[in-house]
Order: sequence, then structure tokens, then C-alpha cells
Amino acid sequence: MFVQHIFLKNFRCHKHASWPLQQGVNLLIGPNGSGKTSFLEAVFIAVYGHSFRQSKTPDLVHFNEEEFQIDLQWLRYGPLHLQVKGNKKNIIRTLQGKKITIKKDFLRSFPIVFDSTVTSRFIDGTPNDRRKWLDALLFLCKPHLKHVYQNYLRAMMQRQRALRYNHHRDMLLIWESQMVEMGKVLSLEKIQLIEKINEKLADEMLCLNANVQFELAVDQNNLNEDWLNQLKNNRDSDKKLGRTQFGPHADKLSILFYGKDIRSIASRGQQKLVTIAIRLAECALRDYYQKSLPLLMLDDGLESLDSDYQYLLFQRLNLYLGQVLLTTPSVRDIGDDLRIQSYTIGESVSAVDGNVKRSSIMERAA
Amino acid sequence: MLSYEGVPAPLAHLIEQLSGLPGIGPKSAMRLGLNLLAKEPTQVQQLASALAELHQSMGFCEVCGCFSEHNHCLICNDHRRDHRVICVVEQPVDVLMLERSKTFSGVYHVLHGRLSPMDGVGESQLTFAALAMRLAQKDVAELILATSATVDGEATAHYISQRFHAVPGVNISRIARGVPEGGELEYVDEYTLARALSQRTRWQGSGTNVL
Repeated sequence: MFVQHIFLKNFRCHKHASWPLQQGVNLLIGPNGSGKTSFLEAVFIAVYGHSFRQSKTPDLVHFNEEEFQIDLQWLRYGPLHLQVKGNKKNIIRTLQGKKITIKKDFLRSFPIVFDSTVTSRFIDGTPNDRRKWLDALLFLCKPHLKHVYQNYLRAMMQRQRALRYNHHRDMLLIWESQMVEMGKVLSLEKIQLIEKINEKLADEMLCLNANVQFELAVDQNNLNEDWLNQLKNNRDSDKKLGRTQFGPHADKLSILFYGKDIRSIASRGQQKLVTIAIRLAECALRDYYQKSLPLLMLDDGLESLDSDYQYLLFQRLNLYLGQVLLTTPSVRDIGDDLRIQSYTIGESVSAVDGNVKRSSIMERAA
Repeated sequence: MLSYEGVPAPLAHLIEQLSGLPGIGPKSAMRLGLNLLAKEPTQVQQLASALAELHQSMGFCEVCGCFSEHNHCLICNDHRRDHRVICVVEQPVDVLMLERSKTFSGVYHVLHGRLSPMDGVGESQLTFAALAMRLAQKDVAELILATSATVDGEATAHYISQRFHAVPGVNISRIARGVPEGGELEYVDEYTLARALSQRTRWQGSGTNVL
């Protein structure tokens, strides 16, 4: 399944623009502010129904216009037309002309993995941001665990309320037992998922031929036999703080680079490569569980990478069996041996197997 | 809220009262009010007397807490039922639902709610003390926990099992969960399916498994 064409009308800085795509790697080149990310954002809005920039709907419409339109032509078994029409108040999405009302199955039907340095703060973000990413991946891979997590949170809130109103210790123990029962399922599943991600990451690092060692690690204080006792011992401090300190809701996900936090010792280029490797591992896992390779979107994917790393990345992406959309302000050398289709905003440069042809598909950003 | 301009005060009063009932909005209330006005006065008086009698003659059973006309409900007064088996439910309406199955021959105990500190419901708000008294006074062999399959219902069941597991001679059981009878697997949600698989029972020939 892949996107064949993206059409934009009055969307952000684009009055009229289109990007024809191929099944493999698609590279979009353009200067800063030319609207490269807007193409990725259009795909994101079409699938999720909202922007990753957290901006309000009025900002999506082109200056002095009332409405915007996004048309995505997908190819699965046959052509699929996904359309987004929006004004300054709301967004309406249609698939094959029919309005989309249920989001749940839709995300599984159109799997996308998105990475951007501006919006999704993966390595630079807080442990909370990374845990949210891991939880979201866990629920995508094993949907029934979302219900377990909601039940866990409910039991935790009941315990906090019981603590606040000084309920009897037997009553507190009931909620704590519920938390441990559901929390252990979540913790074990999370550890299994981390192990799988680390396996995939090791493969990715081999593919990227990068001589770096890193792994994801979850700091869980809750898998030991003593978790229930720990909850009992923390009653006073939890009551004082107004929150439960330990549990799957507070796991800390860290990225270790040679055993240390990646942010403290790895270079920006290494961090970028690791981020992309994690996204590729995420794609592999979603393919394993959902039986469909996601569309991988890398915003400013070559940022901080030297020409060697760029070449390694292109080599790896060329082997990816799904579709890749990658934006960058500039690129040094793609290499003649790689099948990568590149476009430049303003005037399109199509390079297939190294053969360059020019066409004026995309309009200069307003 | 609709304005009742031009509507005579007695009718407006009735409409206001009716619209306070669950599932009835102001428009439906007005339709019901006009319908009652169009009926014979004797029919309306019968309805009025039924309403007036409801709280006078209805109450809850002193033993099990279910609906009853007198101090004891029909189920508790029925000597053909097995009084050694008590099914614990959350609400009186759950008794009516379980009775529809016509398979349970024991008696009930209604908690009138479930544990939920967020809603201000603790152990003192529920009828655990009455249940303890029943277990102490009567020879009870089994306690079936039929609270709902939610977190709060589970916690309530957990609490009962913790509190009464030491009572001699009483077995505590929990109602089963999983795929509904006559249900297609394709329409069952992921969580129920996962739970049904993890709590599968050994095949007993007829497809049913008795504790």
C-alpha cells in the first residue's frame, strides 16, 4: 500500500501543489519555508484528522483563503481516494467519497510512522514523551492492552481518592491489588516489546553499517514481588504528592548509547541515525503485528548527517519494502546505484536511477 | 428547557415533572401530558393512584435488599430455593435480569452499589454488614460474586472474597466472562476475546463446564 499522488489546494503556503510519488523512497528537496513539511503534514492530517504541529485549523488555510483541500491517491488492492476538506473551523475527511466517522480501524488501515525534529521530540524529549510513544506502539501492536491500561488507570485513581479520604487499609489494599494485577500484565508486555524493538534495532544498526551500540531500556520499579508492599509503603508519600509514584504509568524509557544516556555522549548525527533506526524498528514491529508496512515519513531526515551517513541511510531506505517520504533542504549525492525519486519544490527534479529530468509540477511557495 | 408560555399551569407542572424522568425530554413530556389530558379521567386517576402507591407499598427486602412488597421478598420467602447458595449482585435490577434466565435456584444479596471512592462509595455505603450477618446466622455453602466486569465491580468482588474467604464452609466463586451465547466472534471486541482465550475452560463434551 502506498501513496501515488498528493494534491494540495490552499493548504498552508501552497496555493496549488502536487507531488507524484513512487513506491520506494521519495525525496523532497526545498529551501527553508518552502512548504516541504506541509506535504508530510497533509498526509498526517488525512490519516489522523489533526495536525502534528498542534496548530489550530485556521492556520492550515492559505493566506486570504477560506477553505483548503488535500487529496491523497493511495494504491492498495485498487486505488483509494482519501480527501480532506477544511475551513477555519473544522475538517471533514472522506474515503472514496464517504465521510470517515470511526477513527480506530482507520489508523490500522493507513499505517504511518512519522519523525520530525520539530514536533516529535523523541531523543530530546522528556521520559514522559518517550513512554507515550512506547505505550502508543504497544496498543497498536496489542490492542487489547489499551483496555487493561485504562482499567489500571481507573484503579490507580480510585486508590488515590481512597488515600485522600483516609479509607481503611483493607480498602486501599483492594485497589492496590487491582493495580498490581493489571500493571504486571502491562509491565511484562512492555518488556517483551522492548526486547523485540532492541532485536530489530540491532538488525537496523547492521543494515546501517553504523558502528554504534545502543538499546532502549525501561526503568521499571514494579516487576518485583514486592510491588504490592512498595505501594503499601508509599501510601503516605503518595497521599502527600497526590499521585502514585511507581507503576506502568510512570515508567521511564531511556535510550542507552554504550550503556549511557544518548543525549550526554552521542553526537547530533549519531542521535539522528539512532532516531531513524528506531523509526525503522517501529515500522518492522508494526509490520510484524499488523501485517502491513507503514508509510515512513522523515521530516528533515538528513539533518546533521555527513555524506557517509547520508549514503548509508539512503542505502538502508532503498531496502525498505514500504514507502518512504523524506524531506531535506539539500542533499549532496544520492548515488547512481540507488533507486530514489527526488523532487525539488519550485521546479521538480525527477531522478530515477541517476537519470535526471525536469518538470514544473510544484509551484513556488507563496 | 422549553418555555411553557400559554400552557395552563397544571399541565405545565405535569410536563415539568414528566421531563425529569430518564429518557424523556421536554417534547416527549409535553406529548405525554397532552395524551393524559385526552384520556378518560378514571384512567388518569388509576395511573395517579399507581404512582402514589408505589412508594407506600414498595420497599426493599430486609434480608437480601431486593425489591419487595412486604418486609421479605418472594425469593427469600420461597422455601423451594436453595438458601445455602447466595448470589451477590450490585443492584436490585440485576436480580430481575438473573431471574429471567430461570436457571439459578439460590437466593440473592443486593449490595446497592459498588465500591468507588471517586463517587464517594465506600464499604459503609454498601450492605456488606448485612451479608456478614447472613453468613454468620445461616448455613451458607457458596457465595457467587456476580458484580459487574468493570474495575469497580472487580474490586468489589475482590473485597468480598478477601473479607469472607475465612468463613468456614463457604466457597466463593465468580461468574464467568467471555464470548456471549449466540455471539459471532467477529463482533466481539479484542479485550473480551483475549480474556475469553486466557480464561478458557476444558472441553467437557457438551461444551459446558460446571464448577
